Amino acid sequence: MTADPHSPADSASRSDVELLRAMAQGDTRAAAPFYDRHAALVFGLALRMTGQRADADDVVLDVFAQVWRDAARFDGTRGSVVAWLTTITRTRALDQLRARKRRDAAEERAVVLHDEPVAMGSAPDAPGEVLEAQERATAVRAALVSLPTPQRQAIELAFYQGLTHHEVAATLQEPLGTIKTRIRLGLLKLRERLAGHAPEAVS
Amino acid sequence: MTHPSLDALRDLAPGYLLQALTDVERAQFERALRDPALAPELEAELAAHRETFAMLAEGQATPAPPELRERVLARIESEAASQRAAPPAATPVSKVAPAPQTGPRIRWVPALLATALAASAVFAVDLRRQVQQLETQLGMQALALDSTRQRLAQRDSTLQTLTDGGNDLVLVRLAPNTQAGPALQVYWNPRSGKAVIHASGLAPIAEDRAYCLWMIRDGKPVPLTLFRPGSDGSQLLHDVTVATGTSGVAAFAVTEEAATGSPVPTMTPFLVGEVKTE
Repeated sequence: MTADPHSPADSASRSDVELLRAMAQGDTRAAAPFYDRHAALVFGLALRMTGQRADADDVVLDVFAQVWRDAARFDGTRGSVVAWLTTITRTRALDQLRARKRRDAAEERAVVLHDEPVAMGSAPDAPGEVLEAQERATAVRAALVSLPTPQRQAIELAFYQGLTHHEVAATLQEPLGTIKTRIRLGLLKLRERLAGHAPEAVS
Repeated sequence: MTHPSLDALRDLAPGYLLQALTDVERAQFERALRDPALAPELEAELAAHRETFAMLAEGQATPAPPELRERVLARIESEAASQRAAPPAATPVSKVAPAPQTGPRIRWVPALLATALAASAVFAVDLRRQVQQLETQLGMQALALDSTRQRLAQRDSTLQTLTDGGNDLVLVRLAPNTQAGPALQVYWNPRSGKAVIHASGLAPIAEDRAYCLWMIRDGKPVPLTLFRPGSDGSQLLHDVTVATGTSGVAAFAVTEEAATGSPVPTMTPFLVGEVKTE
């Protein structure tokens, strides 16, 4: 079986879990619709975290290769497919950041200062899904902006920039305990405010 | 072995998922996760944070470059081929395969040119990297500066509230009868109607609860602000709106309420302080 870039319509209409199940059984045709559905999320997060297009590309390649290898290990009882993908993407992006640090000790991790993502490519051919994803992205950004600034800064540094709690505390010049509580409370507020925009539930 | 408090463990949960903890903190959290008495609560906390992180990731969604799709699918195809233990895929032909040998005298010129071009490309990449480094450093410094500015602005506001009150400044101490335990001070400027509040010794509070400061005016409680203690049990509130003028204001009090607040106190205040004006 091959990774057909023009996957059959039935593949595109299958749920994420069904596509993962197919990949776990060696069906490479399931990879294309899965990629089309989630590439923007993986690429966007990787770009925000690494700050460099080439690194973001590498992260995307690594993430989907890992999804292919570990499809059978996805456990729907532990969370949604998007949550699983987010974890994999962050881990891979952190690997990139650490590798970059090792390559050049003087080099700091890149910070993408602007809040708006940079348009890097064309959207997949699914207007409904694209619109829905754009609405969710807008809602998330609005919710993030609506947080008290100290909470938003702490979350952004920890989640998007991959800083440890100690590094966040040093950057914001606040006590470590305050930072931990701030991140958690900010996340609780975000969850409340985004209650209607949760990622696709696992069936 | 004892665990940190449940609140402290909850504070570690996001960092555990974000790989933001120290080794010691991670070990503490994992030990608590293995404790059947704590595991369900912490697992639920982790699951909720995972979904919130997924939403944060969605907030950054950016269309991927079109050519990336082909590379990803080719990589998966290649991995699948390896998994099937098929003969290894043909090695891709290098785009910079060496040119056929045509003699040393005419080969060295293009070779030199290629070297010079490669060197300038490396230089350009290095320069771009240096610019990115500087931008990164500037970004981090701007963030730190922003944070410092905010703290200074808060302190300015605090000082203004305290000093502008002049002789009218009212200090109300709220404390229980015992020496130990929670305490709260209200530094109220009745001219501006603002107050600086300092609380200490407060007990940790459930995530869906908050402490509420009330003003008792004309015999009725008026909610002023909701707050939560920091990890050391203290809190400083810089710019709380109270009332202009002390007329009718008899006391301040603190209760524990739902995090969303309540129009009237739902419990007997555990801190009360009378307003004594001349």
